[in-house]
Amino acid sequence: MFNARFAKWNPWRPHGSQSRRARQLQWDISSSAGILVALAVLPLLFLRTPSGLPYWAGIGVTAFFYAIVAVGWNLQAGYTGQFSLAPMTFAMIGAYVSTLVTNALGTSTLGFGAAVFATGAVGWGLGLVLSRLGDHYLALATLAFAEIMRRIITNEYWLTRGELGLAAPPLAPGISRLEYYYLFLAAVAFVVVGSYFLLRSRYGLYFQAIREDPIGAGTRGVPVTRWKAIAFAIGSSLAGVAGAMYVHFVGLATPQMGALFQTTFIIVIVMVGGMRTITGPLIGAVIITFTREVLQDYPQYHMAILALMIILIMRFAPRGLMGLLLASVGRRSTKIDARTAEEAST
Amino acid sequence: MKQQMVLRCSNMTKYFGGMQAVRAVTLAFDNGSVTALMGPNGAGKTTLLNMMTGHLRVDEGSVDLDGRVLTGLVPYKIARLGMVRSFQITHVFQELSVRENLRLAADATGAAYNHENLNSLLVELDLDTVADEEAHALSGGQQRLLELGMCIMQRPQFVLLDEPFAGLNPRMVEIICRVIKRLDAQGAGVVVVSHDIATVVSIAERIVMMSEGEVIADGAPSAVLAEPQVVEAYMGTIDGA
Repeated sequence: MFNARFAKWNPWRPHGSQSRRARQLQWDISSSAGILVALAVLPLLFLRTPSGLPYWAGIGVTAFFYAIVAVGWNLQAGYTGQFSLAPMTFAMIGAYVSTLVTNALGTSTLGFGAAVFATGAVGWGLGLVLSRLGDHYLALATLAFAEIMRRIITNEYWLTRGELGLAAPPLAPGISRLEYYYLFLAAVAFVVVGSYFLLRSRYGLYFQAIREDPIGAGTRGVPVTRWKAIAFAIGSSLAGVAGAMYVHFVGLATPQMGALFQTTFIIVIVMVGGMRTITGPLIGAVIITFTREVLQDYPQYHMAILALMIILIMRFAPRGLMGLLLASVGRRSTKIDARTAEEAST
Repeated sequence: MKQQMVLRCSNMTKYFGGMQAVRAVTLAFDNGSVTALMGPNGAGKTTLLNMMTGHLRVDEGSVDLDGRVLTGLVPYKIARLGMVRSFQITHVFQELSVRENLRLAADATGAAYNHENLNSLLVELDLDTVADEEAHALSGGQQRLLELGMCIMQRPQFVLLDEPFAGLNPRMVEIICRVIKRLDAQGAGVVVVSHDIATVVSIAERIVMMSEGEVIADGAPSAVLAEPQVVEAYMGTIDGA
Protein backbone atom coordinates (compact mmCIF):
# COMPACT_ATOMS: atom_id res chain seq x y z
CA MET A 1 0.00 0.00 0.00
CA PHE A 2 2.72 2.40 1.07
CA ASN A 3 4.91 1.45 -1.87
CA ALA A 4 2.09 1.73 -4.36
CA ARG A 5 1.12 5.18 -3.12
CA PHE A 6 4.60 6.62 -3.01
CA ALA A 7 6.23 4.76 -5.89
CA LYS A 8 5.70 7.65 -8.27
CA TRP A 9 7.89 9.88 -6.09
CA ASN A 10 10.81 7.45 -6.24
CA PRO A 11 13.40 8.84 -8.65
CA TRP A 12 15.07 5.45 -9.09
CA ARG A 13 11.97 3.52 -10.10
CA PRO A 14 11.83 2.49 -13.77
CA HIS A 15 10.34 5.55 -15.50
CA GLY A 16 7.33 5.15 -17.81
CA SER A 17 9.51 6.55 -20.55
CA GLN A 18 13.10 5.37 -20.72
CA SER A 19 14.21 8.20 -22.93
CA ARG A 20 17.74 9.53 -22.63
CA ARG A 21 16.31 12.58 -20.88
CA ALA A 22 14.58 10.41 -18.26
CA ARG A 23 17.72 8.33 -17.66
CA GLN A 24 19.87 11.44 -17.40
CA LEU A 25 17.45 12.99 -14.94
CA GLN A 26 17.77 9.92 -12.70
CA TRP A 27 21.57 10.08 -12.88
CA ASP A 28 21.46 13.79 -12.29
CA ILE A 29 19.42 13.65 -9.09
CA SER A 30 21.49 10.69 -7.87
CA SER A 31 24.66 12.75 -8.37
CA SER A 32 23.09 15.67 -6.53
CA ALA A 33 22.14 13.41 -3.64
CA GLY A 34 25.71 12.08 -3.42
CA ILE A 35 27.23 15.57 -3.49
CA LEU A 36 24.78 16.87 -0.88
CA VAL A 37 25.63 13.97 1.45
CA ALA A 38 29.35 14.61 0.90
CA LEU A 39 28.87 18.30 1.69
CA ALA A 40 26.93 17.36 4.83
CA VAL A 41 29.77 15.19 6.19
CA LEU A 42 32.57 17.47 5.00
CA PRO A 43 32.61 19.70 8.14
CA LEU A 44 33.22 16.58 10.23
CA LEU A 45 36.70 16.38 8.69
CA PHE A 46 37.50 19.67 10.40
CA LEU A 47 36.63 18.42 13.86
CA ARG A 48 40.31 17.77 14.61
CA THR A 49 41.19 21.32 13.57
CA PRO A 50 38.13 23.24 14.74
CA SER A 51 39.87 26.61 14.39
CA GLY A 52 39.55 26.47 10.59
CA LEU A 53 35.97 25.34 10.66
CA PRO A 54 34.15 28.72 10.90
CA TYR A 55 36.20 30.12 8.03
CA TRP A 56 35.52 27.26 5.63
CA ALA A 57 31.92 26.99 6.77
CA GLY A 58 31.56 30.63 5.76
CA ILE A 59 32.98 29.89 2.30
CA GLY A 60 30.54 26.98 2.10
CA VAL A 61 27.63 29.30 2.90
CA THR A 62 28.72 31.63 0.09
CA ALA A 63 28.96 28.68 -2.31
CA PHE A 64 25.45 27.53 -1.34
CA PHE A 65 24.09 31.05 -1.77
CA TYR A 66 25.46 31.12 -5.31
CA ALA A 67 24.20 27.56 -5.88
CA ILE A 68 20.58 28.51 -5.07
CA VAL A 69 20.71 31.55 -7.37
CA ALA A 70 22.36 29.40 -10.06
CA VAL A 71 19.73 26.64 -9.80
CA GLY A 72 17.02 29.27 -10.31
CA TRP A 73 18.85 30.89 -13.23
CA ASN A 74 19.43 27.47 -14.78
CA LEU A 75 15.69 26.71 -14.67
CA GLN A 76 14.95 30.04 -16.30
CA ALA A 77 17.81 30.39 -18.79
CA GLY A 78 18.99 26.80 -19.21
CA TYR A 79 15.74 24.87 -19.35
CA THR A 80 13.33 27.55 -20.61
CA GLY A 81 15.78 29.55 -22.71
CA GLN A 82 15.28 32.98 -21.15
CA PHE A 83 18.80 34.28 -20.83
CA SER A 84 18.36 36.87 -18.11
CA LEU A 85 21.22 39.09 -16.99
CA ALA A 86 19.49 39.95 -13.74
CA PRO A 87 19.68 36.93 -11.38
CA MET A 88 21.81 38.77 -8.84
CA THR A 89 19.53 41.80 -9.12
CA PHE A 90 16.74 39.64 -7.73
CA ALA A 91 19.08 38.38 -5.00
CA MET A 92 19.77 42.03 -4.16
CA ILE A 93 16.04 42.87 -4.13
CA GLY A 94 15.41 39.85 -1.87
CA ALA A 95 18.19 40.96 0.45
CA TYR A 96 16.85 44.51 0.78
CA VAL A 97 13.20 43.47 1.14
CA SER A 98 14.09 40.93 3.81
CA THR A 99 16.31 43.41 5.68
CA LEU A 100 13.74 46.21 5.58
CA VAL A 101 10.86 43.97 6.68
CA THR A 102 12.92 42.24 9.37
CA ASN A 103 14.16 45.57 10.72
CA ALA A 104 10.62 46.98 10.70
CA LEU A 105 8.77 44.00 12.13
CA GLY A 106 11.53 42.24 14.03
CA THR A 107 10.96 38.82 12.46
CA SER A 108 13.03 37.33 9.66
CA THR A 109 10.27 34.85 8.80
CA LEU A 110 8.10 37.67 7.50
CA GLY A 111 11.19 39.12 5.84
CA PHE A 112 11.72 35.88 3.91
CA GLY A 113 8.06 35.68 2.96
CA ALA A 114 8.11 39.27 1.73
CA ALA A 115 11.34 38.67 -0.22
CA VAL A 116 9.94 35.58 -1.97
CA PHE A 117 6.68 37.33 -2.76
CA ALA A 118 8.29 40.56 -3.97
CA THR A 119 10.93 38.91 -6.18
CA GLY A 120 8.43 36.35 -7.50
CA ALA A 121 5.92 39.08 -8.35
CA VAL A 122 8.52 41.35 -9.99
CA GLY A 123 9.94 38.32 -11.86
CA TRP A 124 6.45 37.33 -13.03
CA GLY A 125 5.71 40.86 -14.25
CA LEU A 126 9.07 41.21 -15.96
CA GLY A 127 8.66 37.77 -17.52
CA LEU A 128 5.26 38.72 -18.95
CA VAL A 129 6.53 42.02 -20.32
CA LEU A 130 9.63 40.46 -21.88
CA SER A 131 8.05 37.19 -23.04
CA ARG A 132 7.86 38.24 -26.67
CA LEU A 133 11.48 39.35 -26.90
CA GLY A 134 14.08 37.25 -28.67
CA ASP A 135 17.22 35.99 -26.91
CA HIS A 136 19.52 38.97 -27.34
CA TYR A 137 16.83 41.57 -26.75
CA LEU A 138 15.73 39.76 -23.59
CA ALA A 139 19.29 39.72 -22.28
CA LEU A 140 19.69 43.44 -22.98
CA ALA A 141 16.32 44.29 -21.43
CA THR A 142 17.18 42.38 -18.23
CA LEU A 143 20.56 44.09 -18.17
CA ALA A 144 18.78 47.45 -18.32
CA PHE A 145 16.41 46.34 -15.56
CA ALA A 146 19.38 45.24 -13.42
CA GLU A 147 21.09 48.59 -13.83
CA ILE A 148 17.90 50.55 -13.11
CA MET A 149 17.28 48.58 -9.90
CA ARG A 150 20.87 49.00 -8.75
CA ARG A 151 20.68 52.76 -9.38
CA ILE A 152 17.39 53.04 -7.51
CA ILE A 153 18.80 51.21 -4.50
CA THR A 154 21.98 53.27 -4.61
CA ASN A 155 20.16 56.60 -4.90
CA GLU A 156 17.20 56.13 -2.54
CA TYR A 157 19.37 56.83 0.46
CA TRP A 158 16.44 57.56 2.80
CA LEU A 159 15.37 53.92 2.48
CA THR A 160 18.49 51.98 1.63
CA ARG A 161 21.39 54.09 2.95
CA GLY A 162 22.87 53.94 -0.56
CA GLU A 163 26.42 52.63 -0.94
CA LEU A 164 26.82 52.50 2.84
CA GLY A 165 24.49 49.54 2.93
CA LEU A 166 21.76 48.46 5.28
CA ALA A 167 22.62 46.48 8.40
CA ALA A 168 20.77 43.16 8.65
CA PRO A 169 20.41 41.24 11.90
CA PRO A 170 21.47 37.58 12.06
CA LEU A 171 18.79 34.96 11.52
CA ALA A 172 18.87 34.05 15.20
CA PRO A 173 20.84 35.47 18.13
CA GLY A 174 24.18 33.70 18.50
CA ILE A 175 23.75 31.48 15.44
CA SER A 176 27.10 29.93 14.48
CA ARG A 177 28.68 29.70 11.04
CA LEU A 178 28.31 25.92 11.12
CA GLU A 179 24.60 26.29 11.77
CA TYR A 180 24.38 28.69 8.83
CA TYR A 181 26.27 26.10 6.77
CA TYR A 182 23.69 23.40 7.45
CA LEU A 183 20.79 25.80 7.06
CA PHE A 184 22.01 26.83 3.60
CA LEU A 185 22.79 23.21 2.72
CA ALA A 186 19.21 22.24 3.63
CA ALA A 187 17.94 25.10 1.44
CA VAL A 188 20.10 23.89 -1.46
CA ALA A 189 18.79 20.34 -0.99
CA PHE A 190 15.21 21.60 -0.97
CA VAL A 191 15.76 23.62 -4.15
CA VAL A 192 17.57 20.76 -5.94
CA VAL A 193 14.90 18.19 -5.07
CA GLY A 194 12.14 20.67 -5.97
CA SER A 195 13.67 21.37 -9.36
CA TYR A 196 14.03 17.63 -9.99
CA PHE A 197 10.32 17.03 -9.41
CA LEU A 198 9.46 20.06 -11.51
CA LEU A 199 11.62 18.87 -14.39
CA ARG A 200 10.34 15.32 -14.45
CA SER A 201 6.73 16.50 -14.40
CA ARG A 202 4.79 17.56 -17.47
CA TYR A 203 5.83 21.13 -16.70
CA GLY A 204 9.47 20.16 -17.20
CA LEU A 205 8.49 19.08 -20.71
CA TYR A 206 6.71 22.43 -21.20
CA PHE A 207 9.91 24.29 -20.24
CA GLN A 208 11.99 22.28 -22.69
CA ALA A 209 9.40 22.62 -25.45
CA ILE A 210 9.23 26.40 -24.98
CA ARG A 211 13.02 26.69 -25.18
CA GLU A 212 13.27 24.52 -28.28
CA ASP A 213 10.31 25.78 -30.26
CA PRO A 214 7.84 28.28 -28.81
CA ILE A 215 5.64 28.16 -31.93
CA GLY A 216 5.43 24.37 -31.74
CA ALA A 217 4.75 24.50 -28.00
CA GLY A 218 1.85 26.93 -28.44
CA THR A 219 0.41 24.79 -31.24
CA ARG A 220 0.39 21.78 -28.96
CA GLY A 221 -1.54 23.70 -26.30
CA VAL A 222 1.23 25.01 -24.03
CA PRO A 223 0.45 28.53 -22.75
CA VAL A 224 3.89 29.80 -23.73
CA THR A 225 3.69 33.32 -22.27
CA ARG A 226 2.33 32.04 -18.96
CA TRP A 227 5.01 29.37 -18.55
CA LYS A 228 7.77 31.74 -19.56
CA ALA A 229 6.56 34.11 -16.84
CA ILE A 230 6.33 31.23 -14.36
CA ALA A 231 9.92 30.18 -15.14
CA PHE A 232 10.99 33.80 -14.71
CA ALA A 233 9.13 34.03 -11.41
CA ILE A 234 10.66 30.76 -10.11
CA GLY A 235 14.19 31.86 -11.05
CA SER A 236 13.63 35.30 -9.52
CA SER A 237 12.10 34.08 -6.28
CA LEU A 238 14.88 31.50 -5.79
CA ALA A 239 17.41 34.29 -6.23
CA GLY A 240 15.33 36.42 -3.89
CA VAL A 241 15.20 33.84 -1.12
CA ALA A 242 18.93 33.16 -1.51
CA GLY A 243 19.64 36.89 -1.18
CA ALA A 244 17.27 37.13 1.78
CA MET A 245 19.11 34.34 3.60
CA TYR A 246 22.59 35.49 2.69
CA VAL A 247 22.11 39.07 3.81
CA HIS A 248 21.43 37.87 7.36
CA PHE A 249 24.64 35.86 7.21
CA VAL A 250 26.89 38.68 6.01
CA GLY A 251 24.98 41.31 8.04
CA LEU A 252 24.90 44.01 5.36
CA ALA A 253 22.81 44.61 2.26
CA THR A 254 24.67 46.60 -0.39
CA PRO A 255 23.96 47.45 -4.04
CA GLN A 256 27.17 45.57 -4.92
CA MET A 257 25.23 42.30 -4.63
CA GLY A 258 23.37 43.26 -7.83
CA ALA A 259 26.44 44.33 -9.81
CA LEU A 260 26.91 42.85 -13.28
CA PHE A 261 30.12 41.02 -12.32
CA GLN A 262 28.10 39.08 -9.72
CA THR A 263 25.66 37.96 -12.42
CA THR A 264 28.61 36.99 -14.62
CA PHE A 265 29.73 34.83 -11.74
CA ILE A 266 26.37 32.99 -11.74
CA ILE A 267 26.58 32.42 -15.50
CA VAL A 268 30.13 31.05 -15.15
CA ILE A 269 29.01 28.74 -12.33
CA VAL A 270 26.23 27.27 -14.46
CA MET A 271 28.43 27.00 -17.57
CA VAL A 272 31.23 25.27 -15.70
CA GLY A 273 28.93 22.97 -13.71
CA GLY A 274 26.65 22.15 -16.61
CA MET A 275 23.75 24.06 -18.07
CA ARG A 276 20.44 22.18 -18.18
CA THR A 277 21.53 19.79 -15.44
CA ILE A 278 20.33 19.80 -11.84
CA THR A 279 23.71 19.05 -10.30
CA GLY A 280 25.66 21.45 -12.51
CA PRO A 281 24.88 24.68 -10.64
CA LEU A 282 25.68 22.96 -7.34
CA ILE A 283 29.10 21.62 -8.33
CA GLY A 284 29.83 24.77 -10.32
CA ALA A 285 29.13 26.94 -7.28
CA VAL A 286 31.27 24.78 -4.99
CA ILE A 287 34.19 24.51 -7.44
CA ILE A 288 34.25 28.16 -8.47
CA THR A 289 33.73 29.58 -4.97
CA PHE A 290 36.36 27.39 -3.34
CA THR A 291 38.82 27.85 -6.22
CA ARG A 292 38.39 31.58 -6.01
CA GLU A 293 38.98 31.43 -2.28
CA VAL A 294 42.11 29.28 -2.56
CA LEU A 295 43.48 31.62 -5.22
CA GLN A 296 42.97 34.68 -3.00
CA ASP A 297 46.52 34.07 -1.72
CA TYR A 298 47.84 34.67 -5.23
CA PRO A 299 46.11 37.92 -6.16
CA GLN A 300 48.36 38.49 -9.18
CA TYR A 301 47.28 35.17 -10.77
CA HIS A 302 43.85 34.79 -9.22
CA MET A 303 41.63 35.97 -12.08
CA ALA A 304 43.96 34.62 -14.78
CA ILE A 305 43.89 31.08 -13.35
CA LEU A 306 40.10 31.20 -12.93
CA ALA A 307 39.69 32.45 -16.50
CA LEU A 308 42.03 29.74 -17.84
CA MET A 309 40.04 27.09 -16.00
CA ILE A 310 36.82 28.39 -17.53
CA ILE A 311 38.32 28.48 -21.04
CA LEU A 312 39.55 24.89 -20.72
CA ILE A 313 36.18 23.65 -19.48
CA MET A 314 34.33 25.50 -22.23
CA ARG A 315 36.73 24.10 -24.83
CA PHE A 316 36.71 20.46 -23.72
CA ALA A 317 33.33 20.22 -21.98
CA PRO A 318 31.01 22.81 -23.56
CA ARG A 319 28.03 21.43 -21.66
CA GLY A 320 29.97 21.73 -18.41
CA LEU A 321 31.31 19.06 -16.10
CA MET A 322 27.95 17.52 -15.33
CA GLY A 323 26.92 17.70 -18.98
CA LEU A 324 30.05 15.72 -19.84
CA LEU A 325 29.15 13.02 -17.31
CA LEU A 326 25.50 12.84 -18.39
CA ALA A 327 26.42 12.69 -22.07
CA SER A 328 28.54 9.62 -21.31
CA VAL A 329 25.54 8.14 -19.45
CA GLY A 330 23.41 8.72 -22.54
CA ARG A 331 25.98 7.07 -24.81
CA ARG A 332 26.45 4.14 -22.45
CA SER A 333 22.71 3.59 -22.14
CA THR A 334 22.31 3.71 -25.91
CA LYS A 335 25.03 1.05 -26.28
CA ILE A 336 23.34 -1.11 -23.65
CA ASP A 337 19.99 -0.68 -25.44
CA ALA A 338 21.56 -1.67 -28.75
CA ARG A 339 23.21 -4.72 -27.19
CA THR A 340 19.96 -5.78 -25.48
CA ALA A 341 18.06 -5.42 -28.76
CA GLU A 342 20.74 -7.45 -30.54
CA GLU A 343 20.59 -10.21 -27.92
CA ALA A 344 16.81 -10.26 -28.07
CA SER A 345 16.86 -10.66 -31.84
CA THR A 346 19.30 -13.59 -31.81
CA MET B 1 -20.16 9.47 -33.43
CA LYS B 2 -19.29 13.04 -32.62
CA GLN B 3 -21.90 15.75 -32.79
CA GLN B 4 -22.02 17.87 -35.90
CA MET B 5 -19.65 20.84 -35.80
CA VAL B 6 -18.84 23.50 -38.34
CA LEU B 7 -15.60 25.40 -38.76
CA ARG B 8 -16.46 28.61 -40.54
CA CYS B 9 -14.20 31.22 -42.15
CA SER B 10 -15.97 34.45 -43.09
CA ASN B 11 -14.46 37.05 -45.41
CA MET B 12 -10.96 36.28 -44.20
CA THR B 13 -8.39 38.67 -45.58
CA LYS B 14 -4.67 39.06 -45.07
CA TYR B 15 -2.31 41.74 -46.29
CA PHE B 16 1.47 41.52 -46.37
CA GLY B 17 2.47 45.11 -46.91
CA GLY B 18 0.70 46.17 -50.08
CA MET B 19 0.05 42.62 -51.23
CA GLN B 20 -3.29 40.96 -50.51
CA ALA B 21 -2.35 37.33 -49.79
CA VAL B 22 -5.86 36.15 -48.92
CA ARG B 23 -8.91 37.94 -50.35
CA ALA B 24 -12.21 37.72 -48.49
CA VAL B 25 -12.26 33.94 -48.29
CA THR B 26 -15.49 32.45 -46.98
CA LEU B 27 -15.57 28.70 -46.36
CA ALA B 28 -17.23 26.21 -44.05
CA PHE B 29 -15.89 22.79 -43.07
CA ASP B 30 -17.92 20.04 -41.40
CA ASN B 31 -16.40 17.61 -38.99
CA GLY B 32 -16.46 14.03 -40.15
CA SER B 33 -15.25 14.98 -43.60
CA VAL B 34 -11.94 15.35 -45.41
CA THR B 35 -11.40 18.51 -47.44
CA ALA B 36 -8.36 19.21 -49.58
CA LEU B 37 -7.19 22.78 -49.90
CA MET B 38 -5.28 23.03 -53.15
CA GLY B 39 -3.78 25.64 -55.39
CA PRO B 40 -0.51 26.76 -56.92
CA ASN B 41 2.33 28.07 -54.79
CA GLY B 42 1.49 31.48 -53.37
CA ALA B 43 -2.26 30.87 -53.60
CA GLY B 44 -2.70 31.73 -49.90
CA LYS B 45 -3.43 28.23 -48.54
CA THR B 46 -0.90 28.25 -45.72
CA THR B 47 -1.67 31.88 -44.91
CA LEU B 48 -5.34 30.94 -44.54
CA LEU B 49 -4.39 28.04 -42.26
CA ASN B 50 -2.12 30.28 -40.20
CA MET B 51 -4.96 32.75 -39.67
CA MET B 52 -7.37 29.96 -38.72
CA THR B 53 -5.02 28.60 -36.04
CA GLY B 54 -3.98 31.97 -34.60
CA HIS B 55 -0.44 31.91 -35.99
CA LEU B 56 -1.17 35.00 -38.10
CA ARG B 57 -3.32 37.97 -37.23
CA VAL B 58 -6.55 38.19 -39.23
CA ASP B 59 -6.71 41.57 -40.96
CA GLU B 60 -10.37 41.30 -41.93
CA GLY B 61 -13.06 38.70 -41.40
CA SER B 62 -13.46 36.06 -38.74
CA VAL B 63 -13.18 32.37 -38.00
CA ASP B 64 -15.45 30.45 -35.67
CA LEU B 65 -15.82 26.89 -34.50
CA ASP B 66 -19.49 26.08 -34.05
CA GLY B 67 -20.29 29.67 -33.18
CA ARG B 68 -17.31 30.12 -30.85
CA VAL B 69 -15.26 32.96 -32.33
CA LEU B 70 -11.59 32.00 -32.69
CA THR B 71 -10.40 35.26 -34.28
CA GLY B 72 -7.81 36.91 -32.08
CA LEU B 73 -7.23 33.86 -29.87
CA VAL B 74 -3.66 32.68 -29.33
CA PRO B 75 -2.69 29.28 -30.80
CA TYR B 76 -2.73 27.36 -27.51
CA LYS B 77 -6.35 28.38 -26.81
CA ILE B 78 -7.41 27.39 -30.32
CA ALA B 79 -5.65 24.02 -29.88
CA ARG B 80 -7.45 23.48 -26.58
CA LEU B 81 -10.77 24.20 -28.29
CA GLY B 82 -10.09 21.27 -30.59
CA MET B 83 -8.47 22.72 -33.69
CA VAL B 84 -4.96 21.38 -34.19
CA ARG B 85 -2.52 21.47 -37.05
CA SER B 86 0.74 20.32 -38.58
CA PHE B 87 3.24 22.48 -40.46
CA GLN B 88 5.03 22.36 -43.81
CA ILE B 89 8.30 22.42 -41.87
CA THR B 90 7.66 20.16 -38.92
CA HIS B 91 7.58 21.57 -35.40
CA VAL B 92 8.51 18.58 -33.27
CA PHE B 93 10.67 18.92 -30.16
CA GLN B 94 14.06 17.64 -31.20
CA GLU B 95 15.50 16.94 -27.77
CA LEU B 96 12.44 15.08 -26.49
CA SER B 97 11.84 11.45 -27.29
CA VAL B 98 9.04 10.40 -29.63
CA ARG B 99 7.00 9.23 -26.63
CA GLU B 100 7.63 12.49 -24.74
CA ASN B 101 6.56 14.52 -27.78
CA LEU B 102 3.27 12.62 -27.88
CA ARG B 103 2.74 12.87 -24.11
CA LEU B 104 3.40 16.59 -24.17
CA ALA B 105 0.79 17.15 -26.89
CA ALA B 106 -1.87 15.31 -24.89
CA ASP B 107 -0.92 16.84 -21.53
CA ALA B 108 -0.78 20.41 -22.81
CA THR B 109 -4.16 20.15 -24.50
CA GLY B 110 -5.70 18.40 -21.50
CA ALA B 111 -6.60 15.32 -23.59
CA ALA B 112 -6.99 12.03 -21.74
CA TYR B 113 -4.76 9.12 -22.75
CA ASN B 114 -3.22 5.99 -21.36
CA HIS B 115 -0.17 3.94 -22.23
CA GLU B 116 -2.24 1.57 -24.37
CA ASN B 117 -3.54 4.47 -26.51
CA LEU B 118 -0.06 5.82 -26.86
CA ASN B 119 1.52 2.49 -27.73
CA SER B 120 -1.14 1.61 -30.30
CA LEU B 121 -0.68 5.02 -31.92
CA LEU B 122 3.08 4.41 -32.09
CA VAL B 123 2.41 1.11 -33.86
CA GLU B 124 -0.10 2.71 -36.22
CA LEU B 125 2.47 5.37 -37.18
CA ASP B 126 5.23 2.78 -37.46
CA LEU B 127 7.18 4.66 -34.79
CA ASP B 128 7.11 1.96 -32.11
CA THR B 129 10.71 0.92 -32.75
CA VAL B 130 11.95 4.48 -32.21
CA ALA B 131 9.58 5.42 -29.38
CA ASP B 132 12.37 6.26 -26.94
CA GLU B 133 14.66 7.92 -29.46
CA GLU B 134 14.95 11.67 -29.48
CA ALA B 135 13.15 13.33 -32.37
CA HIS B 136 16.37 14.64 -33.93
CA ALA B 137 17.40 11.03 -34.57
CA LEU B 138 14.35 10.45 -36.81
CA SER B 139 14.22 10.87 -40.57
CA GLY B 140 12.29 13.80 -42.03
CA GLY B 141 9.41 11.46 -42.90
CA GLN B 142 9.29 10.00 -39.41
CA GLN B 143 9.23 13.51 -37.94
CA ARG B 144 6.23 14.25 -40.15
CA LEU B 145 4.50 11.13 -38.84
CA LEU B 146 5.38 12.16 -35.28
CA GLU B 147 3.82 15.57 -35.82
CA LEU B 148 0.67 13.89 -37.10
CA GLY B 149 0.74 11.68 -33.99
CA MET B 150 0.94 14.79 -31.80
CA CYS B 151 -2.14 16.15 -33.55
CA ILE B 152 -3.99 12.91 -32.84
CA MET B 153 -2.94 12.92 -29.17
CA GLN B 154 -4.62 16.32 -28.86
CA ARG B 155 -8.02 14.67 -29.51
CA PRO B 156 -9.00 17.18 -32.19
CA GLN B 157 -12.38 18.24 -33.56
CA PHE B 158 -10.57 19.58 -36.61
CA VAL B 159 -7.11 18.78 -37.94
CA LEU B 160 -5.42 21.07 -40.43
CA LEU B 161 -2.50 19.34 -42.16
CA ASP B 162 -0.13 21.50 -44.18
CA GLU B 163 1.61 19.48 -46.90
CA PRO B 164 1.56 16.21 -44.95
CA PHE B 165 2.75 14.14 -47.93
CA ALA B 166 5.67 16.34 -49.00
CA GLY B 167 8.89 14.39 -49.38
CA LEU B 168 7.49 11.10 -48.08
CA ASN B 169 7.94 7.64 -49.50
CA PRO B 170 4.81 5.71 -50.61
CA ARG B 171 4.75 3.62 -47.43
CA MET B 172 4.58 6.75 -45.24
CA VAL B 173 1.97 8.34 -47.51
CA GLU B 174 -0.10 5.20 -47.05
CA ILE B 175 0.21 5.43 -43.26
CA ILE B 176 -0.88 9.06 -43.26
CA CYS B 177 -3.84 8.34 -45.54
CA ARG B 178 -4.91 5.52 -43.23
CA VAL B 179 -4.71 7.81 -40.20
CA ILE B 180 -6.66 10.55 -41.98
CA LYS B 181 -9.39 8.07 -42.86
CA ARG B 182 -9.52 6.90 -39.25
CA LEU B 183 -9.84 10.48 -38.01
CA ASP B 184 -12.60 11.02 -40.57
CA ALA B 185 -14.41 7.88 -39.44
CA GLN B 186 -14.13 8.98 -35.81
CA GLY B 187 -15.89 12.22 -36.64
CA ALA B 188 -13.00 14.70 -36.81
CA GLY B 189 -12.88 17.22 -39.62
CA VAL B 190 -9.68 17.07 -41.67
CA VAL B 191 -8.38 19.83 -43.93
CA VAL B 192 -5.37 18.81 -46.00
CA VAL B 193 -3.21 21.26 -47.92
CA SER B 194 -1.43 19.33 -50.63
CA HIS B 195 -0.19 19.37 -54.21
CA ASP B 196 -0.40 15.59 -54.50
CA ILE B 197 -3.52 15.30 -56.66
CA ALA B 198 -3.62 11.51 -56.83
CA THR B 199 -3.38 11.08 -53.08
CA VAL B 200 -5.82 13.88 -52.36
CA VAL B 201 -8.41 12.41 -54.71
CA SER B 202 -8.16 9.08 -52.89
CA ILE B 203 -8.99 10.56 -49.46
CA ALA B 204 -10.88 13.83 -49.89
CA GLU B 205 -14.60 14.19 -50.39
CA ARG B 206 -14.22 17.82 -51.33
CA ILE B 207 -11.59 20.03 -52.91
CA VAL B 208 -11.31 23.77 -52.37
CA MET B 209 -9.09 25.30 -55.04
CA MET B 210 -7.41 28.63 -54.34
CA SER B 211 -5.50 30.93 -56.63
CA GLU B 212 -4.05 34.36 -55.90
CA GLY B 213 -5.73 34.49 -52.50
CA GLU B 214 -9.21 33.60 -53.72
CA VAL B 215 -11.33 30.47 -53.86
CA ILE B 216 -11.80 29.67 -57.53
CA ALA B 217 -13.57 26.33 -57.18
CA ASP B 218 -15.18 24.29 -54.44
CA GLY B 219 -16.85 20.90 -54.71
CA ALA B 220 -16.38 17.20 -55.38
CA PRO B 221 -12.86 16.30 -56.60
CA SER B 222 -13.92 15.15 -60.06
CA ALA B 223 -15.91 18.31 -60.71
CA VAL B 224 -13.30 20.73 -59.36
CA LEU B 225 -10.39 19.15 -61.20
CA ALA B 226 -12.34 19.31 -64.47
CA GLU B 227 -12.99 23.05 -64.29
CA PRO B 228 -11.04 25.01 -66.91
CA GLN B 229 -9.92 27.81 -64.54
CA VAL B 230 -8.58 25.17 -62.13
CA VAL B 231 -6.61 23.50 -64.89
CA GLU B 232 -5.30 26.87 -66.00
CA ALA B 233 -4.36 28.05 -62.49
CA TYR B 234 -2.74 24.78 -61.53
CA MET B 235 -1.14 23.55 -64.73
CA GLY B 236 -0.86 26.77 -66.71
CA THR B 237 -1.58 26.92 -70.43
CA ILE B 238 0.47 25.27 -73.13
CA ASP B 239 1.55 28.52 -74.78
CA GLY B 240 2.02 30.23 -71.44
CA ALA B 241 -0.61 32.82 -72.30
